[in-house]
Amino acid sequence: MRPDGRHWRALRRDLQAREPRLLALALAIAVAAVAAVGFFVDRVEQGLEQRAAALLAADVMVESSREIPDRFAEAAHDRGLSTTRTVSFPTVVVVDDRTELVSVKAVGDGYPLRGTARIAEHPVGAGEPAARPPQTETVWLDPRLFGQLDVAVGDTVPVGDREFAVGAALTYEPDRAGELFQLAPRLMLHLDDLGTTGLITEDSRVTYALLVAGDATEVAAYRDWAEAEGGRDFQVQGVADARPEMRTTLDRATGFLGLAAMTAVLLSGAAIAIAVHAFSGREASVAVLMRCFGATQRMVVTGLVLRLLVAGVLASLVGLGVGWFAQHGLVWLIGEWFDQALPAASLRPAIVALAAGMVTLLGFGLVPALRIRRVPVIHVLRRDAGLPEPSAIAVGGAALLAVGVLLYYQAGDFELGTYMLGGAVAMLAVLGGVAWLLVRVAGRVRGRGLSPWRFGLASIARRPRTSTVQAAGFGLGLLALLLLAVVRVDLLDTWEAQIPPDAPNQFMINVQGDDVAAVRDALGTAGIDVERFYPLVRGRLVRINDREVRPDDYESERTRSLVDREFNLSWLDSVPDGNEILAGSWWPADADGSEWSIEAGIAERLDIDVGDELTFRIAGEEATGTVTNLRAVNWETFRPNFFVLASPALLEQHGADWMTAYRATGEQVQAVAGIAREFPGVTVLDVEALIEQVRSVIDQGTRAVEYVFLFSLVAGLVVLVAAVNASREERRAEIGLLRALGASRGRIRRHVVAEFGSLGAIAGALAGLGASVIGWAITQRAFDLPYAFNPWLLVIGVGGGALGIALAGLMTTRRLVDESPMGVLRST
Amino acid sequence: MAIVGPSGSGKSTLLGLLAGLDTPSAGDIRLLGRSLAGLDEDGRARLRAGRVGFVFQSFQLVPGLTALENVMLPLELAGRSDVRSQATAALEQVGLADRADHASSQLSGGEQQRVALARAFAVDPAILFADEPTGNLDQRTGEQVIDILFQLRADHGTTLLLVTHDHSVASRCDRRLAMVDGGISEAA
Repeated sequence: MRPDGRHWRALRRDLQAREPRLLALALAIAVAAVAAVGFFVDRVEQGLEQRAAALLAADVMVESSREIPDRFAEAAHDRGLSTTRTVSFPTVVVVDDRTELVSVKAVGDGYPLRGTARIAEHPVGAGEPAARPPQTETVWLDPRLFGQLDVAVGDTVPVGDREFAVGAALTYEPDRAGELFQLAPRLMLHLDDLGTTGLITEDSRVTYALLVAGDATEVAAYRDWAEAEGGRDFQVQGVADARPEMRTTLDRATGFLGLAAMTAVLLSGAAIAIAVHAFSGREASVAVLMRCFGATQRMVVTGLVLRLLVAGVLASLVGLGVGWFAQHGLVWLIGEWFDQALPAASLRPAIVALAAGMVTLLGFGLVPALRIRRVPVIHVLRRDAGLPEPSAIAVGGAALLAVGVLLYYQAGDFELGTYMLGGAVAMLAVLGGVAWLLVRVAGRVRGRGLSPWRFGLASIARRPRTSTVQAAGFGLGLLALLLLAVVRVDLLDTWEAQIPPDAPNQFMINVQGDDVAAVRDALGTAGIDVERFYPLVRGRLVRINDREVRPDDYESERTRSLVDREFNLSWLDSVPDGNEILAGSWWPADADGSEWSIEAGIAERLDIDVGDELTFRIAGEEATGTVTNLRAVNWETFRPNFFVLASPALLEQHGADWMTAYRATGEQVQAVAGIAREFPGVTVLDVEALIEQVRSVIDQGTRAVEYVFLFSLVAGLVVLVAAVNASREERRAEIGLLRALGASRGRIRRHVVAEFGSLGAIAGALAGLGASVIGWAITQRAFDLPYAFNPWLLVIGVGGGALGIALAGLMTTRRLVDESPMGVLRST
Repeated sequence: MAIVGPSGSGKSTLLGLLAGLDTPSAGDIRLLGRSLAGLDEDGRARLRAGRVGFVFQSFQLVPGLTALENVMLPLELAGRSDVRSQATAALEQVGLADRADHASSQLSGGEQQRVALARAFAVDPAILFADEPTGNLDQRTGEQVIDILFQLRADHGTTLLLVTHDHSVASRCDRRLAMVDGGISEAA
């Protein structure tokens, strides 16, 4: 059907009416929320890719314990990509009487392909960006080595068969961050010098890498090729694999943001459904008039749907604009996560947001709008003919479908999507069901109340359907507000508390067993109370029960590299802080058996269960014990955590290094440096910068999430307004009649307060319970954080609901109370 | 023709049936020479388009539209051309040309019903159904409206079927039927 003047006039009329405005507002909010988060996440993803590339020093890396064949580099060159190579291995450097285990990395010209290394003249400070890798004949040393080897820039150090000049302190190496705890201090030299050192022999544990970078499409194609070509011997790493702890935090942040946006969409959807329902009810009288004048049903329905769509598109465009501006706010809040300016957003989020707007509009609005089809034409003569109600199943089904589509898309994660969808469905079902019950109960008890209450409760009972919709609508609106006011704070606090303020910022490793007491005393003198020293032995997992463990037996690359490495093993007599026993039981303090405790994630990866017998090879000797428990470990505490722990009896006889973690501030840091000099071999790792980085990510993430939740807040308010508005026309007639019968304004206001107050209390109770359940589900299940029930939710829900809705009711009916009863009665 | 009778006697129900707004549980109705029994809802609507006019007790102007736009509505639905000038002419016939751009809410009850008359006659209908057209008006305004109604009826040669309980209005019709408790008989 071609829209003609009639449709434009109708559209103009719509824009003057209350319901279409509410609908447009709700839709604009939904689109704005989705667009803001979409644009932002898009830019962050692009920014992250750039940054992650720097953390890999390349766009893609081929890694192996064997030399990378030339065909890998040639294939990259064929695609116009640039390459360079690195070779890493551990070795020992001896200067005078000082011996240090160092991690050598020989790098080729062009290293790093992404990101920048930093070097300094002296082993302090952040240093300057290095324009090129070390020249031949020179090495760059980790700042720690300057103290440990007692050398300065310009001195020479022996590396294998050669002597090298110390060229600079290597203060920052882009592709090193992820290996913080694994490596000995770095010694970097040029690849051309490697052959002459004579360090690479058959037995060396060498890692060869080919770094590749260039055009994104070509890189992706190259990666696919390399993965197929490399098989198991050559691991291909892309940027998404780098820096897991940062990735976790950012994933959580974008997860929260998506959740916040979806909350706004769900609420807007509810507001849209209520508004369209009221709108189609009001439009029914015009529709029957047109039918009287000879319009067919199709004309009437298409006309209405067309107008809804046009209004929807206009509102969505406005929302898109708002969202685009709003994402600048987000960038301003958390853009500093990124060293350089974020890349511009792509067009995709705009399309997604518009599509989300249309899905929301049609999913929530179409079925309520279509009820106009079934209005009997005789309604034009006889008002008591009544308006048909849409089938609850159809309304719910369409809304569910829309929500499902949006949730799965937004969450991008089946579990989170399912939780939200299940939560939304259960929520609506429970809200609707309980509201219906309470409305019935309200009707029963009305005879026992005082006059205004009796009338108020009677009003609720007289319109069971509208009242149920209203109570559910209020419930939903209040639920959103409660979630935002209470659960959000709890949730974000829990997140922030993941890194306690007293989290250790230094690790001291390689403490000899004989020195532990002395080091503990020295730290105590410096004002640092050390809770615990952990013994540390390194062992390779060689057998699970009677089966030999071979890396090649495992499909997953991560699992293979896990069993290929030595585990850090420790023994303890009690469960470490922040660990939780998931299966089996911890050994008694005086146990003399041979028992293992395994971290649950790794146990699953290696298919280990309680009762299995594991054998580790530690410095040539084997240690065999039985797994008696599985643990969950909170890795974000920054405390020493271990995949594998043993009962003391099992490992005590092995010579161990000891380590500890503590928090050192101000002058204590100097004192610790002194201790490290006093006990040669002791190494201090400072993780303050890393903690600060993660903490600031969480901090800014929290603010960003709160910002997006503002959209939900407004959407929640729109739901409330739409719900109050739903009964406005009926109420208008009712108030006119009461006024005509001589009721004073004060009395009518008391009726309104009684009615809306009761509805608000009902809705508030529902919202309080709902918010608790959702809070639990989101925190515990989806984000894997602990959750504590907050009893205030119920109190605030009921009290705030009764008060707030009564006020809202008074405000919406204010004009109605002032209207002349005559005018009202005439026009209805 | 007038149909008279006390409230609840079934006058409006009969009017609705005759106009094809509702369907009888038994029997058939012929409107403009066509049996309504064989027609579905849309078929009956198409039959009415441009040939049947309506005037209601509560005026039933579309809120938010101007007087002129209200008159244009049935013309557009009947697919007429030159809708605006025909509507303007119809408004002139009821003496409201100067109120054409007023919203319906800005008009008095009498004026609203005159706009409704213009709207009903604008399509030059073969038959016009009027349901208590003066029911919401005071006597003097009611008489003015009835005068215009009968004048327009005569000008257009339209068959008028009028439901009323006002005997002075009914007496101006050629034929009067009385309804009591759903039964029908010739009235004096």
